[in-house]
Amino acid sequence: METLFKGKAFKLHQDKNIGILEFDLEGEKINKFGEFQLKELGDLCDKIKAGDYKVKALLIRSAKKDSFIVGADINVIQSLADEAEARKASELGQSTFSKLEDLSIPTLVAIHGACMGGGTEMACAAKYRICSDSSRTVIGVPEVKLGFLPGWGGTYRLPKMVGLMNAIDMILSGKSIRPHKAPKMGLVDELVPEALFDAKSVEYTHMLAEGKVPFNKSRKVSLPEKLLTTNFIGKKVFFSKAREQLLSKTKGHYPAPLAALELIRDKSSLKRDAYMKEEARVFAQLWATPVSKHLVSLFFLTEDVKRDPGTTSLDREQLKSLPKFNQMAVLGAGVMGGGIGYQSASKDIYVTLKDIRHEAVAAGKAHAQKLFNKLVERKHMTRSQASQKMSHIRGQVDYTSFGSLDLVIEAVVEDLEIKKKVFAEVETKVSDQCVIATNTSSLRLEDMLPAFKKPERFVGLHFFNPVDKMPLVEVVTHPQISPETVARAVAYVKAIGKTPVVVKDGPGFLVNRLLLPWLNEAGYCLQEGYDIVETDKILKKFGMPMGPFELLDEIGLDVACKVSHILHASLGQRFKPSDGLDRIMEANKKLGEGQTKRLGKKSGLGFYKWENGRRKEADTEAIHKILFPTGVKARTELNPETLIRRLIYPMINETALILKEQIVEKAWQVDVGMIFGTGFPPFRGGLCRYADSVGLKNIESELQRMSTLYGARLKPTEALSAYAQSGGKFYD
Amino acid sequence: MKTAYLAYGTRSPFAKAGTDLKTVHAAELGRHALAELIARSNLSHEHWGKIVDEVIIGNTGTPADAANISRVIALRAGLPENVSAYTVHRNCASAMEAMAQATLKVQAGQGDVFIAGGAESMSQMPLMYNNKATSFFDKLSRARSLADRLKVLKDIPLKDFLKPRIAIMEGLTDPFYDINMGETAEIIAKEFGIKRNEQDEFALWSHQKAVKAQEAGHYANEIAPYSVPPKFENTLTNDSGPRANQSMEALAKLRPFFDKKFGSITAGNSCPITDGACMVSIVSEEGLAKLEGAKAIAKITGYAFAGLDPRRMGLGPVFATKKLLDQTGEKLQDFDVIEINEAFSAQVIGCLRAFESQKFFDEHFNGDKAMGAIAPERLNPNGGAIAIGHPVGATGARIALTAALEMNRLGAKKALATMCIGGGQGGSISLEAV
Repeated sequence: METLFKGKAFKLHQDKNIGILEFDLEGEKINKFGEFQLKELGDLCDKIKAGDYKVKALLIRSAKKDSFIVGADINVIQSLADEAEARKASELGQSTFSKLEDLSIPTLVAIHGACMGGGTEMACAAKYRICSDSSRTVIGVPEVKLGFLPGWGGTYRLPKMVGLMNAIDMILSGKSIRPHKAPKMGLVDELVPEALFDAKSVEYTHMLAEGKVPFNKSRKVSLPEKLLTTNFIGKKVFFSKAREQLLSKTKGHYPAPLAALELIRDKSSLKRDAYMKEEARVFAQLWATPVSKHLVSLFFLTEDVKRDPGTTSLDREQLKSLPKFNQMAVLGAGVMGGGIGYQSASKDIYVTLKDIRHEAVAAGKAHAQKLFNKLVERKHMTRSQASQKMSHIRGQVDYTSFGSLDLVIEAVVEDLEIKKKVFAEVETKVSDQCVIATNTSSLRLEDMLPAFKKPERFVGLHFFNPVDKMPLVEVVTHPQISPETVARAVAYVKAIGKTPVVVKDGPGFLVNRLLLPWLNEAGYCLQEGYDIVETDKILKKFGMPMGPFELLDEIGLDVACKVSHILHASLGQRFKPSDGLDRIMEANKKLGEGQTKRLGKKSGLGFYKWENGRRKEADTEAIHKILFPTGVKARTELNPETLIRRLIYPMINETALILKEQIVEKAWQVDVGMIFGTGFPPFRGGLCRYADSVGLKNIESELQRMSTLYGARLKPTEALSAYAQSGGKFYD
Repeated sequence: MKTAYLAYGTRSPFAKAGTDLKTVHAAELGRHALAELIARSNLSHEHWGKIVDEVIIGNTGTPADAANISRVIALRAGLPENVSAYTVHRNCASAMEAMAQATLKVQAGQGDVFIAGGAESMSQMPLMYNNKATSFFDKLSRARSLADRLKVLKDIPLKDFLKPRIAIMEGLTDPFYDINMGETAEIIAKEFGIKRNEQDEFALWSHQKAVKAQEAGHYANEIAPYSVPPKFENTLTNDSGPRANQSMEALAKLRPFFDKKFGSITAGNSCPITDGACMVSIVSEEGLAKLEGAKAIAKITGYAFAGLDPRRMGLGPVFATKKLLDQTGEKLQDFDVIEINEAFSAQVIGCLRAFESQKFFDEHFNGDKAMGAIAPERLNPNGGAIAIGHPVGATGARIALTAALEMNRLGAKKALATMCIGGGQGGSISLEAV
């Protein structure tokens, strides 16, 4: 094979009369598109068109192992100066791929490994596509997740290739397509077994060079699809339905999918080059939105988190040589234990659930089984895969097998003395290299330290409920912890598919300490006569996944009440809870036999009524009876803006203190914690990003004003004032 | 020749078929026993994966979806894919055969660490279409045109659909003489003149010993509690068979099951069909070291299998033990603990009589000296299959393990486990304290 061209990104080889164009980005393990890559590709297309190379067909593939093209270089996209430059960037990609499309020789793109964004857009511009059946192969256009749209002709070519329905689905959701679905959708012309992939790619290209087409190019179009996408009226129905669904999902917070939908709806009758101008315009507009800026910075944040080993005291070699967690135990089975067991077993860690009663162990197993069953029902897993995973979980009521464990997570009752007793016992049963963790949410690690002979192996692993759904785990450190323990705990959290945030020991750690001011303040609002449903609605409109009262019901009113007192005791006046929850607990005590306790979702009754885990109507009247025994207070008029400030700003106030106390060191850690731990709206970039966008000076003076109206607990902390004075932002 | 040791041993609770474990696949029962054996070693799966030479598991029902059930059990229990696994079948003694093969391989130096055992779900043995119904489906699948299909459908053998072959009934029927296992016990009862009340007394004794052993916690050393999936609402911590309230009156009420007119074998003086699994590890001296210095439970000093008249298969233990002791030079009285599997009271009593009957030995062993009597206190001291059940593929390992543990508990020197085998065989394995 002769090499005709060798650039920084592409190599062109000649094999008999075909050209093999290999994307092989210099100095990288993966291929991504930036300016010079696009230019190189464009020039090559020009030369092929001019007949500089004697090739009758062109095969395009990746030289990287198990990875095709991950898309555009996000660094390049982030560093674009302004909207005009963004538009230019879009136009460069468009014109490059149009050159590829306009080649007169047949072109075949061979996709093995991840093919994302710009990679998919390039593939769409070729005449033919094949993909391997490897589990590593996925094809998608995830641009909306970064707040913009596929701006290199993807919104033009994809609908023509896979049909309007599939294309809208892919572009608006950003989801990836697995190889077995790709040929049915028309996304590729052939699915090829991985072992034959390279040989078949070349063979097919040779056939194309001889004028033979090895594929049967027709996608089956279902009747409903035909009805909805091939005529004026059908399309009208389709687009309005799609728009409706989209808005109910994004609540209007995410402009990109909507803009993509409207672009395709309104402009797809244009000729290619005219359409491209529109696509570039919309791309640039979206690129400039704050939502996109926030989503892009969040993307880099999660990349940073993936790379961050959690400690700076160990070098690369030391980190590599740390023992992995293969066998672990959870003490205290139940739902939390079952959830941790499920999460760990699904990543092939062997889990022992230990409790004092067989029934509790069995409940943990049942919970894990239920979660695996759900995966089977949704076809994410086959039944035998699920049984294999479930087989990783065993249960017991003694300390059998503890000698072989790498990790023990304690999730017993929140009682310091019991926990200490358990730790002392466990430490005699496990090997020296076993890490011992607590899942406490309200107690301090420093109080547990005396129970340990080897405190350096002790760490906090604070999972959130429900474990299978909540992406965050707080990795809690303390002064005596070893860097190895921190690094191993962080590696474990990543290994089970969760996002770690390393925090220092302190009341409520990071997330609960930030959530509580919010929930407390909602309690005060309730007592002032604010409506439960309205309040929740407004906060959801702000972007929170749940309003404060719904969240309280989820947490459990008894738990929330207990935690609020613990934090009040250790953090002082700012955390003084309204007495709402106390009164509800009092009322619970007075209940007779058989009456439902008001504990939230778990008992079926909280601020809302719950049925089979589903939220029903608010129980406003009964709540008012408990809170206002002398008669209902006048309903206070709700100003959404004021309410949001009143509930969100106290969290920002606390954030300043948390950073000052170095519970976490960086603002981005707060944002990771809040987005993944509480679902704080990603499009706002996180709590600190949001605070910065409002300006800490504004927040400080508003808190000052509110504190005179609603209570001293809202007074700006000194830490916040300091930030307000020096620059007014959390981020540098 | 290397010495083979019994190291870890763990089993599931046993439950009468059609009760607590009826929804549990045999492979899952086996997985539980093996996973718990691994857990009890305090060594990781990774460690076991590196040292296990082979997994050998007995099973008679052969679930259609786990033809080589040993492999399914091994992988489900967390042993890595590189570990070889195969299934053995010697009817009621399948697990004993698995132990014998592991022992042989250790002795021959073919490996240092073996898993042996058995798993059986007698609840899940299937109903099958009979030949007529099967051939109907065959014809239907060959018919290509609509006309052909209609022609086949015209002769649909509806009656045959309602007459399935019952796998468990066929499995418990002797294929040479077409008599049920119960009927083989009837033959022994009649020929040895074993009366109904003797059999019932023996059955009652089995329950009493088993209940006492449970109360004393003797079985806790071998049973790993099991929560029954998929709901896990029921946790078994012990065998469910032994009845504290079993009585002669209750036993006397039962009618003979196999020979209604002249018979004496009832459901009460036979073992119940049962679900359960039992796993042991059989290792060499080096194997003990590879298990990080595990303590052996017993040394395996010998094993033997022998054939006899299928109609009198219940006397198998006499033939196998005779063969074994001829090889080892031991006397029956050397054994402090003797487990004779209780398929039927009549069959065990028949064995006891045959052991001491010179006439029997004259007839069957060319006039060799009769082996003599077994002292009652040495026989099945923790009860037997009549009380705790007989999951056929698993029992061989269970009685060996129970015998070894009892020997250690007593501080005794030697133990013997022996059993009768459907089709006319017997199996015996002898153990020595370490």
